[in-house]
This record gives sequence, C-alpha cells and structure tokens, in this order.
Amino acid sequence: MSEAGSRRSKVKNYGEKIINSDKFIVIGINLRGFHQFLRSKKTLGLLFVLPAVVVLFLVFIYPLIYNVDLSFNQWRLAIGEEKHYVGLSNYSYNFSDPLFQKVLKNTLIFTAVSVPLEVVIGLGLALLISRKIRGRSIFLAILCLPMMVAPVIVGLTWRWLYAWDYGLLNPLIGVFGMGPTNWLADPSIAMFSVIVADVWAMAPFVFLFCYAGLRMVPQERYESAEIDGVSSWQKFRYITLPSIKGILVIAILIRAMDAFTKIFDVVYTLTGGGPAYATEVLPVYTYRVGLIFFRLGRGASIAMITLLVTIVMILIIRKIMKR
Amino acid sequence: MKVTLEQVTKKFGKTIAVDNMNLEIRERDFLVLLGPSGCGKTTTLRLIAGLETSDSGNIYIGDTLVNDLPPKDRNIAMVFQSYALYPYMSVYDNIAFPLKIRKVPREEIRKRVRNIAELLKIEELLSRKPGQLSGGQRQRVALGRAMVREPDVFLMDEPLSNLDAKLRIHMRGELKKMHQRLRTTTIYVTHDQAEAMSMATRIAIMDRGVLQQVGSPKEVYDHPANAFVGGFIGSPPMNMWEGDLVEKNGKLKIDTSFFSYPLPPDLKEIAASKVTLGVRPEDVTIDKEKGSNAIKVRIDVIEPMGRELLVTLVSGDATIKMITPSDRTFRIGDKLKIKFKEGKLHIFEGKPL
Amino acid sequence: MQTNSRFRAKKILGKILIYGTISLALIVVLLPLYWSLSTSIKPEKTILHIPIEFFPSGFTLSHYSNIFNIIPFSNYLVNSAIITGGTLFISLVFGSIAAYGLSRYKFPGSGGLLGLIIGARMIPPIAFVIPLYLMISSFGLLDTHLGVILTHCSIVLPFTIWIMKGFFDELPRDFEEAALVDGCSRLGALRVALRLALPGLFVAGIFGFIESWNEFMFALTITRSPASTTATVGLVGLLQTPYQIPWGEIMAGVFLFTLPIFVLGYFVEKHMARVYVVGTVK
Repeated sequence: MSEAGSRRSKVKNYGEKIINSDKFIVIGINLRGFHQFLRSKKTLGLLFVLPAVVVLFLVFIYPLIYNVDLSFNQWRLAIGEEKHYVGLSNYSYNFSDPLFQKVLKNTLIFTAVSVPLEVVIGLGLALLISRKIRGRSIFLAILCLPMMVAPVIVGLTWRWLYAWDYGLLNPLIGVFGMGPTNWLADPSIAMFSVIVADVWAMAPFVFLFCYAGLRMVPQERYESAEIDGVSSWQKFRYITLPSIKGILVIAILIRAMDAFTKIFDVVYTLTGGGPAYATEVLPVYTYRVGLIFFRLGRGASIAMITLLVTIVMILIIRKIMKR
Repeated sequence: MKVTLEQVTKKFGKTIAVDNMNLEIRERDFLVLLGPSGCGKTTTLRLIAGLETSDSGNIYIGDTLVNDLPPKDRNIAMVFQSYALYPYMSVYDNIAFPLKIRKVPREEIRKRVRNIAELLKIEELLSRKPGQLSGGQRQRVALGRAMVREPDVFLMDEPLSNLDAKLRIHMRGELKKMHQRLRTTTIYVTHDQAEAMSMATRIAIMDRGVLQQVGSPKEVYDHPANAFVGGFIGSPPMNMWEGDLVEKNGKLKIDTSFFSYPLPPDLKEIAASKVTLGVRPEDVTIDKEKGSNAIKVRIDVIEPMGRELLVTLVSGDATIKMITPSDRTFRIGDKLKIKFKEGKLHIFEGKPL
Repeated sequence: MQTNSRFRAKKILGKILIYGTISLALIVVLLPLYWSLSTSIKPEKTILHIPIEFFPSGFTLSHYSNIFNIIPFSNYLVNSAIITGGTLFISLVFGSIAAYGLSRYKFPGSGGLLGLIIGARMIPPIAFVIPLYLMISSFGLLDTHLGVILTHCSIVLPFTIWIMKGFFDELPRDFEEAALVDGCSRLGALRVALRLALPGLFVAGIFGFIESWNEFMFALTITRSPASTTATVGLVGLLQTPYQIPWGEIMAGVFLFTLPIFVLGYFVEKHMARVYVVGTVK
C-alpha cells in the first residue's frame, strides 16, 4: 500500500498563499467604522422609515399622548375656559353620570347583538358560496358591494329606507301583514334599526373572513371524509369548524372591537344618537361631549376609556393569534 | 483577477455563517464553492459581491481591498439562482441595464449587447420579456447580463438549479466552454458535487461555515482532507468505519468491530488512536485468493446501475457498498470475500460523521 | 333504483335551498342600492307619493342637476378629490419607502414600529380626534384641505405601509441585489423594487382612495365652509334641510359620490380578502 493512498490531515492547512499587507489593513480598519455606519442596514432602515414616522408622530402618536394629558384637565372651550388640571375628576364624573352609563349600555347592546348576527349571516353565506356553485364570482362581487359603500352613505340610504311615510320598508313589511313602524323615532325600535343597517354593511366583512378561511381548508380533507362516508353535518362539525375556528374567533374579536369603538358614521346619519339618547353609542357620545359641547377634557377622558378597551382587545387578539 | 479572503468571519445573530475563512481564488480559476445547504457557501459569495458586510477580516479583488466598497464599485457580475431578470424590461434592456447604469454610450451598448446575444444564441429573443422565455433561455439572458460588462469576476449562485436535469447537464458544458473562452475568474456556488466535479478547475468545500479543503476536482476526490470531504464527495458515498489503529509485531493494522485490516507502516506515529477508515465503493473488490485475510460478507441488496452494479454487502451488523462491473451475476444471499484496492484507503482522524 | 331517485330528489332540494338562500342574500344586498338609485331618477312627485312606487313610472335627471344648485356639490367633490389626492400622495410616497425599509432592514425599533402600525390600524379615530382637532386648529389649518389631509394620513399612511410591506415581503431580494451588482446604488435598488411592486402600489392606492374618499368624522371636525367641505359632509348636511329632506337630490349625490368607488373597487375585488383578512390576521 502506497504512501499516497493513506492520508491524514487536519482541517487547517490548505497550502494556499495568503497575501498580507499591513498597509491595507490599517487603512481598512480606519475607514470601516465610518463606512459601515453610512452603509449599515440600521442607518439605512432608519432613513427609509423616518419621513413616515415623522408624519405618524404628528397625526397619531402625539395626539394619543396629548389625549392622555387632556383627560386629566378641565377645559370647556365653549365658555372660554382655560385648560386646568383636575386629576381624575373627569373619570369619576363619567362613571357617576347616568347618561354615560346609558351610553355604555347602548354600546354593549349594539355590540352584543350586531356581532353575532353578522357572524351567523357571514359564516352561513361563506359556507354556501364556498360550495361548488355556479356564478360564484358574481355572487362574491355583489356580496362585497356594501363594504365599499361609505358608512355615511349606508346611513343615508337606510334612513331613506326607514322613512315612515315614503320609505320602502313600511310598505314591504305591510306585504307580510305588519303595520307601519316608526323605525328611527321610536326609542324602543331605533337601536334595532341601527343594528340592521350596520349588519347590512358589516356582515360582508365577516363573510369575507370566513370565505377566505374556508378557501384555505385543503380539499383533500373533505374528499377523504366523503370516502369514509361522513354526513354533511359531521363534515361541518369535524372538518370545517375546526379548520376555520381560528380565523372565526379573530373575526368575532375584531368585529366586536370595531363595533364598540368605531361605530360613528352610521349612527350619526341615521339617528344622531336619538331619540332621547336611545341610540347614543360611545364614539358618538365622545364626539358630542368633546367636539359639539366642547368639553375637551371630559371628551378626552371618554376617548381614553375607548382606547383602553381597544388596547385590551388588541392584546387578547394578539395572544390568540400567537397560538 | 484574483480574489483573496483573509480571516473573513460573518455572523448572523449567534450563528456563525462563515468562520475565519482564508481562501485565494487565482486568476482565471473556475472555483466552485461546494457544500451542503447552510454551510456558508452562499454567504461567502455574497460577501465577495458586497451584498453582505463581513464582521471581521479582509476581502481583496485583485490587489484592492473591497471591504467597504459597495457592490457596484467592485466590478463584479453575478448570476442569481432565480436569474433576477427584471420582468418589466425586454431581454435587450435587461442585458443593457448594467451598461446603461454606467452611462455607456448608446451605440456602444447596442454593439456589445448584439455581440453577447450572438455568443449566447439569443438574438431572436431580444425584444421579448423574461416572462415569455423558457428556463434555459432565461438562464442565457442572465448570463448575458453578467457578461456584457466584461467584469473582473463572475459570481454565480446555483445558477443551474432551476433547470431540468437534461438542460442542466447541457448548460454545464456551455458554461465551461464560456469560461475557457473568456478566461474570467469565476466563483460558482453549488451543493451538487457532480456539477462541481465537472466544471471546476478548483473546488472549495465548506461545512458549517468552515473551509474544509481546496483543490482540483481530482485532488479532493483522491485525497480528501478529512472525513467530511471524503463523505461529501463521491456518489454513492464512501464507506466509513470507526476503528482502532494497533501495532502488533511491528505491523500496523486497523481493528473495527467486525474486521481487521492491514495498513502501510507510515502511520505508526498515530498508532493506538481512534481513527476512521474510508473506502470508496469502487475500491472494494472481490477477493478470489484462497486463504487471505479478506473480509467475509453476504450479499444483501443488488442495484443495477447500467454499466455497473451497486452491491450492498453485510458483515455482522455493518454494511459495505461495492461497485462492480455488471458482467458477473450475483444472487442475494451469496457469500463472498472482499478486499480493498491498494493505495485507495483513507484514514481520517476521529470518528466518522 | 329507488334509493337512487331519492338521492337525486334530495340533491335537487338541496340545490334549491342553496340557490334560494343566496338569492335572498343578494336581494337584501341590492335592495337598498336599488332604492337609492331609483329614487334619484324618479320625478319629485313620485318620490313623495303614497303608496310608494317600487318601479319608477317616470324618469328625470333633474335631481342630478339640482344637487349642484341646492348645495355647492361640485366644490365638495373637488375638495374630496384634492384631499384624497393629497392623502394618497403623502401616504404612498412616505408609506412605500417606509414599507421597503421595514421589509428589508432590521434596525433598533423596527419591531416596535411594526407593532405601532398594526395598532394604528386598530385604534379608533375617536380615541384621538379631540387633540388632533386642537393641533390642526393651532396650526391654523382648520377648514383647509391640508388640515383634512393630515387627519386622513393617520388612517391611510399606516394602511399603506402595511399593504406595501406585504408586497415587498413577497418580492425576492434577488432583483435588488442584481441591481446593486449591476451598478445601482441603494436608492437605485429601491427604485427597482418600487417598479416591481407597482401592482402593489396600485392596490394600496385604491384602498387608500376608498378610505380617504369615504371618510366622514375627521372631515366633519375640520371642515367649516365650501372651501374645504367634503362630499360626505356636504351630503349629510342636506339632512338639516327644513320642511322636507330632498331625498331625490341626496340619492343623486350618493350615486355620483359612490360611482368612482365602485369602479375602483372592481379592480381590487380579488385583493379584498387579502387586504382586509390577511392584513388584520398577520
């Protein structure tokens, strides 16, 4: 056996010539710091986001901070008052104010009724549309229409539908033998009417969520279930529902958060919060106190409560999404 | 132009992608950086390109230190795995882009693009968009874009891996021809050892960020520097067994769990240590002499590979792969004696990988 | 044989149920829209008529010309267009560059910024409308286009960053690196990336358009006179008309106002799920 045949060597030596020029190295080190700072990804990344951050700070972050400050002050602009610190008294006033309690109750009712309705309708339609049906793209396009309609326009349109005398809805329910209803002026019905308009506008969101979720379920799951002789209900119970449970929970939470904190345009145009504060919800009330009555401090303190609810909801949503 | 890496280290967070690398790529080399995925070969290439910045060490292109030069000032060209052809530009504009950026006069651009197109036989594609091309055509356009600038160094990051097997082998030949013609220093990254063996003038093998060996294809095949290189180069891979180097009556041999085999005497200095014995399947032969201390084995699996047979042999609980001409007939279960070709044993320090 | 026909009958019944339910949903979606549109073309007499006319007996475009007479509706539309355009300009330019930075580079605070942008999508405008009003007022920007544009940026800019980041994330880095090697600077590489993300820029632009065009509360807060009043605020203002609300004119305005949204929405319909669902889930 020859010497060349058996061989051992360590990893280190490859027998390659390495050039070594001290001069280069010295210059290299000196320049490196500065060049790396300029070209470094940190610096560049910061430069790229800087303009957007400046704008966001101006129109979003600073107002949020300012709002915290405002909420601890009394500042009734309408009577020319100066801003002055009052501690937590805005907050304590709110919670003892029966109107605020009513508003909170209204908002909770609005959320608790509209969101489940939207989920049932949205999920139901998504289940139907995701079957093998003809004309799906047209259905999809039409079902998505309400999402594009401005909330203000939703309010105007439904206000006209609800009109007691010349509106479409009273004659329509007349066909089914029901008498004309004072949809928006009857305090016991007005909230219901607002909810119906909101469901019309927002159920498509839930529908889209669920539809996208259903599209992500691999078709093989259903096919193998079909071969195993699984019934339609069982398919829904054991395949569909577990597959889209995650996305459904997120949809419900996001809708609940938006219903609680963002419902403004529709209520403003439909009822303006009336009659007799029957449909006054949190955002509308905040706006009324802060920017119509110009009690800036108290308005800010109500806004803070909305913000806290939002933050709690965001944290819950994030926690669920991490799972 | 030669390229030199001097003690180059690159970390991503806590992982060391390239660990204290020293490498010289000689002028006119076709150097293939070879290794399993995640071994740091692509990072090395990107360091040379200037797409990553090293944490320490120096990189020279020619005699210029390029540590702090942006990619555009390094006079290199790169072919990407995805080709990265700009989808919104025609083939002509894609190839012309590097010249346009450098404000080369229009007439000059037209001349050079035409030349390249002729060389690569893509003249009739110049007005098309990349989306209308086949994989092989895109590959050529990407090459054209790299060549048009007549750079000092070509960098190629697995440029053939998106092609089908047949086209890949064809393009290997084309690339090799191109290199022989242009003579431009080329650094080529791949995980495919067949590609490396067929194209490279030299191969640099990496594992876990560490350079393992540099040498010509023949050198790394015949004389792997360590067990990793031995196991990585060659298909089917080298047989490897752990064993003890023992000296008895002035003769050296290796004892493994199931056989013992005589060794040449020049390894005396590391006697009585744990080593790994490596033998390539084609260096396993059938021993017909009677009475020799050959290894007794039984045939377990026979895989015809056309001209040759790949035979899996068992001895105890160890397996040995053997490649043998297919003119002999074997049956599963046959008992055989085998030996290893002289001068083809590889002894590595430490345990097998 | 018998089971076969029973199976078929069951299947047909199922089909009727499915298509029946979907048709009902479509009617519920379309009915309000139809009622608005038909009102806008009915002669005044037949709008205020009992019993109501479901199918219009007459046809008139007078509401469409009237809306421009009873309120300065053309001013409002132009204001809406200027405000939407300005919001889009700031949001797309700053937003796409920021999205590129967030997608390609990690830097101290990039994670926090990303969280902030997601948060900004969820935090309701009502939570900061009062201080924002005070700020706009102290800048002297009440009742100006720029004042409304700034408020709209608080909604559209984070939205744009989020959509564009999604597009950049999906764009392979190879293109920019090829550009760098081919001789571009970092800014040149950004240009290549932007060119490749152009479809994304369109999508972000259209969604941003819809958000800004449809916005009401900020516009209500900042605008005062026809100099800046947007179409949304102008149309809602018609509800204050004494005696009889001019429904024909309102619905004509609603239709004119919504038409561009439907046209633009048509182009991004297939992106809706992506933007609204994935955008919130991810």
